Amino acid sequence: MQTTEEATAPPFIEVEHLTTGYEPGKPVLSDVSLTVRQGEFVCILGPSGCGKSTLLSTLSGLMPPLEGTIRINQRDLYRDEIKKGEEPRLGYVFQDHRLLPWRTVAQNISLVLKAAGVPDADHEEIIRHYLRMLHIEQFYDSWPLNLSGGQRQRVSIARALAVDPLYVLMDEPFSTLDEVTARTMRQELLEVWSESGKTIIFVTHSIREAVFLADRIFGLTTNPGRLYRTIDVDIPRIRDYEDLEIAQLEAEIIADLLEEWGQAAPARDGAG
Amino acid sequence: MLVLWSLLYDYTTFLPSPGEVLEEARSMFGNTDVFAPILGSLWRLLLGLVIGFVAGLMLALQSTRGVFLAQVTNTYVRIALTVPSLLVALLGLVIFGISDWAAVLTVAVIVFPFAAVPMIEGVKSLDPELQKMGHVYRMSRMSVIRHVVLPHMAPFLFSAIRNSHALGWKVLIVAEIFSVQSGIGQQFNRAFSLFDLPRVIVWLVIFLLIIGFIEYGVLAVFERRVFRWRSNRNGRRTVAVGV
Repeated sequence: MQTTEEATAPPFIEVEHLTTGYEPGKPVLSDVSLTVRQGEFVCILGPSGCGKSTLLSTLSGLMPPLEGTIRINQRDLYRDEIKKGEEPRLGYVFQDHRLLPWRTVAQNISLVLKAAGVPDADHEEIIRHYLRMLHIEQFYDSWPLNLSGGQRQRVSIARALAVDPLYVLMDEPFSTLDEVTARTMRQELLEVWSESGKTIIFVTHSIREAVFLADRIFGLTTNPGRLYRTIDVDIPRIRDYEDLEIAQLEAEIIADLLEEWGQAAPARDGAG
Repeated sequence: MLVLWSLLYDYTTFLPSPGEVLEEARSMFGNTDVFAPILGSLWRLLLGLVIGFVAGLMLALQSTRGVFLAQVTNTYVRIALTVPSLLVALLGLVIFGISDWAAVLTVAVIVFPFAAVPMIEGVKSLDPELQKMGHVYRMSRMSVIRHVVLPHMAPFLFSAIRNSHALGWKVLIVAEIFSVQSGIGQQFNRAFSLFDLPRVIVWLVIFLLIIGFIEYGVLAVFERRVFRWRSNRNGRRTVAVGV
Protein backbone atom coordinates (compact mmCIF):
# COMPACT_ATOMS: atom_id res chain seq x y z
CA MET A 1 0.00 0.00 0.00
CA GLN A 2 2.87 2.36 0.64
CA THR A 3 4.70 4.40 -1.95
CA THR A 4 8.46 4.92 -2.05
CA GLU A 5 8.02 8.48 -0.99
CA GLU A 6 6.32 7.44 2.23
CA ALA A 7 8.97 4.87 2.91
CA THR A 8 11.82 7.37 2.79
CA ALA A 9 10.02 10.03 4.84
CA PRO A 10 11.13 10.28 8.48
CA PRO A 11 9.02 8.05 10.71
CA PHE A 12 5.91 9.68 12.12
CA ILE A 13 6.13 7.99 15.48
CA GLU A 14 9.55 6.80 16.57
CA VAL A 15 10.09 4.78 19.72
CA GLU A 16 13.72 4.19 20.60
CA HIS A 17 15.03 1.82 23.29
CA LEU A 18 11.96 2.50 25.38
CA THR A 19 11.92 1.09 28.87
CA THR A 20 8.85 1.91 30.85
CA GLY A 21 7.17 0.91 34.10
CA TYR A 22 5.88 2.24 37.37
CA GLU A 23 9.12 2.09 39.37
CA PRO A 24 12.78 2.20 38.33
CA GLY A 25 14.42 -1.20 38.34
CA LYS A 26 11.11 -2.93 37.72
CA PRO A 27 10.34 -2.19 34.09
CA VAL A 28 7.10 -3.57 32.68
CA LEU A 29 8.47 -3.23 29.18
CA SER A 30 12.11 -2.98 28.24
CA ASP A 31 14.14 -1.83 25.27
CA VAL A 32 11.33 -1.51 22.75
CA SER A 33 12.14 0.19 19.45
CA LEU A 34 9.58 0.65 16.74
CA THR A 35 8.40 3.16 14.17
CA VAL A 36 4.99 3.97 12.81
CA ARG A 37 4.34 5.71 9.50
CA GLN A 38 1.80 8.44 9.08
CA GLY A 39 -1.63 7.02 8.33
CA GLU A 40 -0.57 3.52 9.22
CA PHE A 41 -2.71 1.07 11.18
CA VAL A 42 -0.50 -0.91 13.55
CA CYS A 43 -1.49 -3.48 16.13
CA ILE A 44 0.37 -4.22 19.30
CA LEU A 45 -0.24 -7.85 20.08
CA GLY A 46 0.64 -9.52 23.30
CA PRO A 47 -0.50 -11.75 26.14
CA SER A 48 -1.88 -10.42 29.42
CA GLY A 49 0.69 -8.65 31.53
CA CYS A 50 3.16 -7.92 28.73
CA GLY A 51 2.83 -4.17 29.19
CA LYS A 52 0.62 -3.32 26.20
CA SER A 53 -1.44 -0.83 28.16
CA THR A 54 1.64 0.62 29.81
CA LEU A 55 3.10 1.18 26.35
CA LEU A 56 -0.05 3.07 25.35
CA SER A 57 0.05 5.20 28.50
CA THR A 58 3.64 6.11 27.70
CA LEU A 59 2.71 6.90 24.09
CA SER A 60 -0.13 9.11 25.32
CA GLY A 61 2.28 11.44 27.08
CA LEU A 62 0.92 10.76 30.57
CA MET A 63 3.63 8.41 31.82
CA PRO A 64 7.27 9.40 31.39
CA PRO A 65 9.47 6.46 30.30
CA LEU A 66 12.19 5.11 32.56
CA GLU A 67 14.62 5.11 29.63
CA GLY A 68 14.54 5.79 25.92
CA THR A 69 12.71 8.32 23.80
CA ILE A 70 9.45 8.74 21.95
CA ARG A 71 9.32 11.17 19.05
CA ILE A 72 6.05 12.20 17.48
CA ASN A 73 6.57 14.04 14.22
CA GLN A 74 10.22 14.48 15.19
CA ARG A 75 9.36 16.13 18.49
CA ASP A 76 10.37 14.42 21.71
CA LEU A 77 7.14 13.74 23.57
CA TYR A 78 8.67 14.10 27.03
CA ARG A 79 11.92 16.07 26.79
CA ASP A 80 11.17 18.83 24.33
CA GLU A 81 9.66 21.80 25.97
CA ILE A 82 6.05 21.77 24.90
CA LYS A 83 4.02 24.85 25.63
CA LYS A 84 0.70 24.47 27.35
CA GLY A 85 -1.97 24.05 24.71
CA GLU A 86 0.54 22.81 22.15
CA GLU A 87 0.76 19.21 23.32
CA PRO A 88 0.20 16.82 20.43
CA ARG A 89 -3.51 16.11 20.13
CA LEU A 90 -4.37 12.51 20.44
CA GLY A 91 -7.46 10.36 20.45
CA TYR A 92 -7.77 7.54 22.95
CA VAL A 93 -10.31 4.76 22.88
CA PHE A 94 -10.28 2.83 26.11
CA GLN A 95 -11.37 -0.73 26.79
CA ASP A 96 -14.46 0.68 28.47
CA HIS A 97 -16.13 3.65 26.81
CA ARG A 98 -15.22 6.21 29.51
CA LEU A 99 -17.97 8.58 28.54
CA LEU A 100 -19.30 10.87 31.23
CA PRO A 101 -22.73 9.35 32.02
CA TRP A 102 -24.05 12.74 33.20
CA ARG A 103 -23.36 14.44 29.89
CA THR A 104 -25.13 13.72 26.60
CA VAL A 105 -23.31 12.20 23.65
CA ALA A 106 -22.86 15.62 22.06
CA GLN A 107 -21.73 17.21 25.35
CA ASN A 108 -19.17 14.46 25.88
CA ILE A 109 -17.56 15.21 22.54
CA SER A 110 -17.97 18.95 22.95
CA LEU A 111 -15.97 18.84 26.18
CA VAL A 112 -12.89 17.34 24.56
CA LEU A 113 -13.23 19.70 21.59
CA LYS A 114 -13.17 22.59 24.01
CA ALA A 115 -10.08 21.15 25.69
CA ALA A 116 -8.47 20.89 22.24
CA GLY A 117 -9.12 24.58 21.67
CA VAL A 118 -11.80 24.21 19.00
CA PRO A 119 -14.10 27.28 18.95
CA ASP A 120 -17.58 26.57 20.35
CA ALA A 121 -19.31 27.64 17.15
CA ASP A 122 -17.74 24.75 15.22
CA HIS A 123 -18.62 22.02 17.71
CA GLU A 124 -22.02 20.97 16.41
CA GLU A 125 -20.88 20.55 12.83
CA ILE A 126 -17.82 18.51 13.83
CA ILE A 127 -19.78 16.35 16.25
CA ARG A 128 -22.49 15.62 13.68
CA HIS A 129 -19.87 14.79 11.06
CA TYR A 130 -18.20 12.14 13.19
CA LEU A 131 -21.42 10.75 14.63
CA ARG A 132 -22.65 10.35 11.06
CA MET A 133 -19.39 8.64 10.11
CA LEU A 134 -20.05 6.11 12.89
CA HIS A 135 -23.76 5.80 12.06
CA ILE A 136 -24.99 7.14 15.38
CA GLU A 137 -26.12 10.65 14.54
CA GLN A 138 -29.58 9.87 15.91
CA PHE A 139 -28.05 9.65 19.40
CA TYR A 140 -26.74 13.23 19.38
CA ASP A 141 -28.84 14.16 22.44
CA SER A 142 -28.91 10.76 24.14
CA TRP A 143 -27.52 9.87 27.52
CA PRO A 144 -24.68 7.33 27.30
CA LEU A 145 -26.49 5.00 29.71
CA ASN A 146 -29.34 4.68 27.20
CA LEU A 147 -26.99 3.28 24.55
CA SER A 148 -25.81 -0.28 23.99
CA GLY A 149 -22.19 -1.27 24.54
CA GLY A 150 -21.40 -1.10 20.84
CA GLN A 151 -23.00 2.31 20.47
CA ARG A 152 -21.08 3.69 23.43
CA GLN A 153 -17.85 2.48 21.90
CA ARG A 154 -18.84 4.18 18.63
CA VAL A 155 -19.28 7.43 20.54
CA SER A 156 -15.90 6.87 22.12
CA ILE A 157 -14.33 6.42 18.67
CA ALA A 158 -16.16 9.49 17.34
CA ARG A 159 -14.78 11.45 20.29
CA ALA A 160 -11.25 10.24 19.56
CA LEU A 161 -11.46 11.32 15.92
CA ALA A 162 -13.32 14.58 16.51
CA VAL A 163 -10.35 16.30 18.12
CA ASP A 164 -8.48 15.90 14.80
CA PRO A 165 -5.70 13.96 16.52
CA LEU A 166 -2.17 13.40 15.28
CA TYR A 167 -2.60 9.76 16.22
CA VAL A 168 -5.22 7.55 17.84
CA LEU A 169 -4.50 5.02 20.58
CA MET A 170 -6.92 2.15 21.08
CA ASP A 171 -6.70 -0.17 24.05
CA GLU A 172 -8.62 -3.37 23.28
CA PRO A 173 -11.73 -1.33 22.45
CA PHE A 174 -13.82 -4.31 21.29
CA SER A 175 -12.83 -6.85 23.91
CA THR A 176 -15.91 -6.24 26.06
CA LEU A 177 -18.36 -6.46 23.15
CA ASP A 178 -20.09 -9.61 21.96
CA GLU A 179 -18.43 -11.22 18.95
CA VAL A 180 -21.09 -10.25 16.39
CA THR A 181 -21.01 -6.59 17.44
CA ALA A 182 -17.22 -6.66 17.58
CA ARG A 183 -17.02 -7.91 13.99
CA THR A 184 -19.25 -5.14 12.71
CA MET A 185 -17.22 -2.63 14.66
CA ARG A 186 -13.89 -3.89 13.28
CA GLN A 187 -15.21 -3.67 9.75
CA GLU A 188 -16.46 -0.15 10.32
CA LEU A 189 -13.30 0.91 12.11
CA LEU A 190 -11.37 0.10 8.93
CA GLU A 191 -13.81 2.16 6.88
CA VAL A 192 -13.53 5.07 9.28
CA TRP A 193 -9.75 4.74 9.29
CA SER A 194 -9.47 4.91 5.51
CA GLU A 195 -11.93 7.80 5.41
CA SER A 196 -10.12 9.84 8.07
CA GLY A 197 -6.54 8.85 7.17
CA LYS A 198 -5.52 8.83 10.85
CA THR A 199 -2.59 6.92 12.29
CA ILE A 200 -3.94 4.24 14.63
CA ILE A 201 -2.09 2.23 17.24
CA PHE A 202 -4.36 -0.58 18.33
CA VAL A 203 -3.65 -2.88 21.24
CA THR A 204 -5.15 -6.36 21.28
CA HIS A 205 -4.55 -9.88 22.53
CA SER A 206 -6.53 -11.39 19.66
CA ILE A 207 -4.28 -12.56 16.83
CA ARG A 208 -7.16 -12.78 14.36
CA GLU A 209 -8.23 -9.25 15.16
CA ALA A 210 -4.68 -7.97 14.69
CA VAL A 211 -4.24 -9.73 11.36
CA PHE A 212 -7.60 -8.45 10.12
CA LEU A 213 -6.96 -4.83 11.09
CA ALA A 214 -3.27 -4.06 10.83
CA ASP A 215 -0.72 -3.02 8.24
CA ARG A 216 1.90 -4.22 10.65
CA ILE A 217 1.80 -6.14 13.91
CA PHE A 218 4.24 -5.70 16.76
CA GLY A 219 4.27 -8.92 18.73
CA LEU A 220 5.24 -8.42 22.37
CA THR A 221 6.21 -11.08 24.79
CA THR A 222 6.31 -11.09 28.55
CA ASN A 223 8.73 -11.63 31.44
CA PRO A 224 10.18 -9.19 30.79
CA GLY A 225 7.93 -7.38 28.32
CA ARG A 226 9.80 -6.77 25.11
CA LEU A 227 9.29 -6.62 21.36
CA TYR A 228 9.58 -10.14 19.99
CA ARG A 229 8.58 -9.93 16.34
CA THR A 230 7.39 -7.42 13.76
CA ILE A 231 5.00 -8.91 11.22
CA ASP A 232 4.04 -7.24 7.96
CA VAL A 233 0.49 -8.03 6.93
CA ASP A 234 0.48 -7.92 3.13
CA ILE A 235 -3.07 -9.08 2.69
CA PRO A 236 -4.81 -6.58 0.39
CA ARG A 237 -7.72 -4.55 1.64
CA ILE A 238 -10.72 -4.75 1.73
CA ARG A 239 -10.27 -7.83 3.89
CA ASP A 240 -12.77 -10.44 4.95
CA TYR A 241 -12.64 -11.60 8.56
CA GLU A 242 -13.15 -15.21 7.42
CA ASP A 243 -10.64 -14.96 4.59
CA LEU A 244 -8.36 -17.98 4.22
CA GLU A 245 -5.28 -15.79 3.93
CA ILE A 246 -6.09 -14.23 7.27
CA ALA A 247 -6.64 -17.63 8.86
CA GLN A 248 -3.36 -18.82 7.41
CA LEU A 249 -1.33 -15.89 8.69
CA GLU A 250 -3.06 -16.24 12.03
CA ALA A 251 -1.97 -19.88 12.20
CA GLU A 252 1.62 -18.95 11.36
CA ILE A 253 1.69 -16.27 14.02
CA ILE A 254 0.18 -18.63 16.54
CA ALA A 255 2.84 -21.23 15.79
CA ASP A 256 5.56 -18.64 16.13
CA LEU A 257 4.37 -16.45 19.00
CA LEU A 258 2.37 -18.80 21.12
CA GLU A 259 5.28 -21.02 21.88
CA GLU A 260 7.20 -17.96 22.95
CA TRP A 261 4.26 -16.67 24.99
CA GLY A 262 3.66 -20.07 26.49
CA GLN A 263 7.25 -20.41 27.63
CA ALA A 264 7.69 -16.90 28.83
CA ALA A 265 4.35 -16.41 30.47
CA PRO A 266 3.28 -18.94 33.05
CA ALA A 267 -0.50 -18.84 33.17
CA ARG A 268 -1.55 -15.95 35.35
CA ASP A 269 -4.19 -13.31 35.51
CA GLY A 270 -3.72 -9.61 35.06
CA ALA A 271 -4.61 -6.83 32.74
CA GLY A 272 -2.66 -6.50 29.50
CA MET B 1 -52.23 16.08 63.25
CA LEU B 2 -55.09 18.46 63.92
CA VAL B 3 -57.08 15.78 65.73
CA LEU B 4 -54.10 14.95 67.91
CA TRP B 5 -53.62 18.62 68.59
CA SER B 6 -57.27 19.07 69.58
CA LEU B 7 -57.09 16.04 71.86
CA LEU B 8 -53.90 17.31 73.49
CA TYR B 9 -55.57 20.68 73.96
CA ASP B 10 -58.48 19.03 75.72
CA TYR B 11 -56.28 17.11 78.13
CA THR B 12 -53.54 19.60 78.90
CA THR B 13 -53.59 23.05 80.33
CA PHE B 14 -50.73 24.77 78.51
CA LEU B 15 -51.52 24.13 74.84
CA PRO B 16 -53.52 26.70 72.87
CA SER B 17 -56.40 25.47 70.67
CA PRO B 18 -56.08 25.41 66.88
CA GLY B 19 -58.66 28.17 66.76
CA GLU B 20 -56.63 30.46 68.97
CA VAL B 21 -53.55 29.85 66.85
CA LEU B 22 -55.44 30.60 63.65
CA GLU B 23 -56.71 33.82 65.18
CA GLU B 24 -53.16 34.74 66.20
CA ALA B 25 -51.85 33.99 62.72
CA ARG B 26 -54.49 36.20 61.16
CA SER B 27 -53.61 39.12 63.39
CA MET B 28 -49.88 38.53 62.79
CA PHE B 29 -50.20 38.53 59.02
CA GLY B 30 -52.37 41.63 59.30
CA ASN B 31 -49.24 43.47 60.36
CA THR B 32 -46.48 43.52 57.78
CA ASP B 33 -43.58 42.82 60.09
CA VAL B 34 -43.87 39.04 59.69
CA PHE B 35 -41.79 38.81 56.56
CA ALA B 36 -38.88 40.92 57.69
CA PRO B 37 -37.66 38.39 60.29
CA ILE B 38 -38.24 35.52 57.86
CA LEU B 39 -36.23 37.14 55.09
CA GLY B 40 -33.56 38.17 57.57
CA SER B 41 -33.19 34.61 58.81
CA LEU B 42 -33.22 33.14 55.30
CA TRP B 43 -30.53 35.53 54.18
CA ARG B 44 -28.28 34.78 57.14
CA LEU B 45 -28.85 31.05 56.72
CA LEU B 46 -28.04 31.13 53.01
CA LEU B 47 -24.88 33.14 53.51
CA GLY B 48 -23.71 30.91 56.37
CA LEU B 49 -24.47 27.73 54.45
CA VAL B 50 -22.70 28.91 51.31
CA ILE B 51 -19.57 29.87 53.24
CA GLY B 52 -19.52 26.62 55.21
CA PHE B 53 -20.31 24.55 52.15
CA VAL B 54 -17.71 26.08 49.88
CA ALA B 55 -15.09 25.79 52.63
CA GLY B 56 -15.99 22.12 53.04
CA LEU B 57 -15.78 21.52 49.30
CA MET B 58 -12.37 23.18 48.99
CA LEU B 59 -11.13 21.09 51.88
CA ALA B 60 -12.49 17.89 50.33
CA LEU B 61 -10.89 18.65 46.95
CA GLN B 62 -7.59 19.44 48.66
CA SER B 63 -7.61 16.01 50.25
CA THR B 64 -7.01 14.51 46.79
CA ARG B 65 -3.58 16.08 46.73
CA GLY B 66 -1.74 13.74 49.04
CA VAL B 67 -2.00 11.35 51.93
CA PHE B 68 -0.51 13.71 54.49
CA LEU B 69 -2.88 16.54 53.68
CA ALA B 70 -5.80 14.12 53.73
CA GLN B 71 -4.86 12.92 57.24
CA VAL B 72 -4.47 16.44 58.60
CA THR B 73 -7.81 17.35 57.07
CA ASN B 74 -9.48 14.30 58.52
CA THR B 75 -8.20 14.90 62.02
CA TYR B 76 -9.25 18.52 61.94
CA VAL B 77 -12.72 17.73 60.65
CA ARG B 78 -13.28 15.03 63.28
CA ILE B 79 -12.49 17.52 66.03
CA ALA B 80 -14.52 20.31 64.45
CA LEU B 81 -17.56 18.02 64.37
CA THR B 82 -17.79 18.07 68.14
CA VAL B 83 -17.62 21.84 68.71
CA PRO B 84 -20.85 22.95 70.45
CA SER B 85 -22.81 25.54 68.50
CA LEU B 86 -23.66 27.49 71.64
CA LEU B 87 -19.97 28.07 72.25
CA VAL B 88 -19.44 29.36 68.72
CA ALA B 89 -22.53 31.57 68.95
CA LEU B 90 -21.22 33.15 72.16
CA LEU B 91 -17.76 33.59 70.66
CA GLY B 92 -19.35 35.22 67.64
CA LEU B 93 -21.18 37.60 69.96
CA VAL B 94 -17.91 38.48 71.68
CA ILE B 95 -16.06 39.03 68.40
CA PHE B 96 -18.67 40.74 66.27
CA GLY B 97 -21.04 42.15 68.86
CA ILE B 98 -24.70 42.19 67.95
CA SER B 99 -24.58 41.84 64.18
CA ASP B 100 -25.60 39.65 61.27
CA TRP B 101 -22.05 38.37 60.86
CA ALA B 102 -22.04 36.72 64.25
CA ALA B 103 -24.95 34.50 63.20
CA VAL B 104 -23.70 33.97 59.66
CA LEU B 105 -20.25 32.86 60.75
CA THR B 106 -21.62 30.71 63.54
CA VAL B 107 -23.67 28.82 60.96
CA ALA B 108 -20.67 28.57 58.63
CA VAL B 109 -18.27 27.32 61.31
CA ILE B 110 -20.64 24.70 62.70
CA VAL B 111 -21.94 23.49 59.34
CA PHE B 112 -18.55 23.28 57.65
CA PRO B 113 -17.31 19.95 59.10
CA PHE B 114 -20.70 18.32 58.62
CA ALA B 115 -20.63 19.36 54.97
CA ALA B 116 -17.00 18.28 54.61
CA VAL B 117 -17.44 14.70 55.88
CA PRO B 118 -19.73 13.40 53.10
CA MET B 119 -17.75 15.38 50.54
CA ILE B 120 -14.47 13.78 51.63
CA GLU B 121 -16.20 10.41 51.22
CA GLY B 122 -17.27 11.56 47.76
CA VAL B 123 -13.72 12.44 46.82
CA LYS B 124 -12.59 8.99 47.99
CA SER B 125 -15.11 7.39 45.65
CA LEU B 126 -13.83 9.20 42.55
CA ASP B 127 -13.08 7.12 39.49
CA PRO B 128 -9.42 7.50 38.46
CA GLU B 129 -10.23 6.03 35.04
CA LEU B 130 -12.55 8.88 34.10
CA GLN B 131 -9.96 11.37 35.32
CA LYS B 132 -7.37 9.69 33.13
CA MET B 133 -9.71 10.23 30.20
CA GLY B 134 -9.80 13.90 31.14
CA HIS B 135 -6.00 14.09 31.21
CA VAL B 136 -5.57 12.26 27.92
CA TYR B 137 -7.78 14.83 26.23
CA ARG B 138 -5.89 17.64 28.02
CA MET B 139 -8.90 18.91 29.89
CA SER B 140 -7.96 21.70 32.30
CA ARG B 141 -8.07 21.12 36.05
CA MET B 142 -11.13 23.35 36.37
CA SER B 143 -12.86 21.50 33.57
CA VAL B 144 -12.10 18.12 35.15
CA ILE B 145 -13.48 19.34 38.47
CA ARG B 146 -16.61 20.76 36.88
CA HIS B 147 -17.45 17.98 34.44
CA VAL B 148 -15.90 14.87 35.98
CA VAL B 149 -15.34 15.33 39.71
CA LEU B 150 -18.39 17.30 40.85
CA PRO B 151 -21.01 15.30 38.90
CA HIS B 152 -19.45 12.12 40.25
CA MET B 153 -19.69 13.52 43.77
CA ALA B 154 -23.27 14.73 43.26
CA PRO B 155 -24.96 12.16 45.54
CA PHE B 156 -22.51 13.08 48.28
CA LEU B 157 -23.00 16.79 47.64
CA PHE B 158 -26.75 16.42 48.04
CA SER B 159 -26.29 14.54 51.26
CA ALA B 160 -23.97 17.35 52.40
CA ILE B 161 -26.51 20.01 51.41
CA ARG B 162 -29.31 18.25 53.29
CA ASN B 163 -27.19 17.74 56.40
CA SER B 164 -25.98 21.28 56.50
CA HIS B 165 -29.39 22.75 55.72
CA ALA B 166 -31.01 20.88 58.62
CA LEU B 167 -28.17 21.67 60.98
CA GLY B 168 -27.95 25.25 59.74
CA TRP B 169 -31.46 26.07 60.97
CA LYS B 170 -30.78 24.66 64.42
CA VAL B 171 -27.62 26.69 64.74
CA LEU B 172 -29.13 29.83 63.26
CA ILE B 173 -32.04 29.92 65.72
CA VAL B 174 -29.62 29.60 68.64
CA ALA B 175 -27.32 32.22 67.19
CA GLU B 176 -30.18 34.62 66.55
CA ILE B 177 -31.41 34.32 70.11
CA PHE B 178 -27.96 35.23 71.38
CA SER B 179 -26.33 37.53 68.95
CA VAL B 180 -28.84 39.06 66.56
CA GLN B 181 -31.82 40.97 67.75
CA SER B 182 -33.92 39.96 64.77
CA GLY B 183 -34.96 36.96 62.72
CA ILE B 184 -37.11 33.94 63.46
CA GLY B 185 -34.94 32.98 66.44
CA GLN B 186 -35.55 36.29 68.09
CA GLN B 187 -39.30 36.03 67.36
CA PHE B 188 -39.35 32.67 69.12
CA ASN B 189 -37.47 34.14 72.01
CA ARG B 190 -39.77 37.11 72.35
CA ALA B 191 -42.93 35.01 72.13
CA PHE B 192 -41.52 32.66 74.73
CA SER B 193 -40.63 35.36 77.18
CA LEU B 194 -44.15 36.79 76.90
CA PHE B 195 -45.42 33.22 77.27
CA ASP B 196 -47.44 33.82 74.11
CA LEU B 197 -47.86 30.20 73.09
CA PRO B 198 -50.19 30.72 70.11
CA ARG B 199 -47.54 32.98 68.63
CA VAL B 200 -44.82 30.39 69.28
CA ILE B 201 -46.89 27.83 67.43
CA VAL B 202 -47.58 30.13 64.51
CA TRP B 203 -43.84 30.69 64.17
CA LEU B 204 -43.23 26.97 64.43
CA VAL B 205 -45.68 26.35 61.58
CA ILE B 206 -44.07 29.06 59.44
CA PHE B 207 -40.70 27.52 60.20
CA LEU B 208 -41.85 24.05 59.13
CA LEU B 209 -43.40 25.43 55.95
CA ILE B 210 -40.13 27.10 54.99
CA ILE B 211 -38.16 23.91 55.59
CA GLY B 212 -40.72 21.87 53.65
CA PHE B 213 -40.54 24.30 50.76
CA ILE B 214 -36.75 24.20 50.63
CA GLU B 215 -36.72 20.41 50.71
CA TYR B 216 -39.50 19.68 48.22
CA GLY B 217 -39.70 22.92 46.27
CA VAL B 218 -35.99 23.56 45.81
CA LEU B 219 -33.72 20.62 46.66
CA ALA B 220 -35.89 17.86 45.20
CA VAL B 221 -36.42 19.77 41.95
CA PHE B 222 -32.72 20.53 41.67
CA GLU B 223 -31.87 16.91 42.43
CA ARG B 224 -34.21 15.60 39.73
CA ARG B 225 -32.51 17.87 37.22
CA VAL B 226 -28.99 16.88 38.22
CA PHE B 227 -29.79 13.16 38.07
CA ARG B 228 -31.90 13.23 34.92
CA TRP B 229 -29.25 11.21 33.11
CA ARG B 230 -30.10 8.21 35.30
CA SER B 231 -33.67 7.96 34.11
CA ASN B 232 -34.26 5.55 31.28
CA ARG B 233 -37.88 6.52 30.84
CA ASN B 234 -37.21 9.85 29.26
CA GLY B 235 -39.72 9.91 26.43
CA ARG B 236 -38.03 12.63 24.41
CA ARG B 237 -34.76 10.77 24.15
CA THR B 238 -34.06 8.10 21.64
CA VAL B 239 -33.72 4.79 23.36
CA ALA B 240 -31.15 2.57 21.76
CA VAL B 241 -31.96 -0.73 20.14
CA GLY B 242 -29.45 -3.08 18.56
CA VAL B 243 -25.82 -2.32 17.81
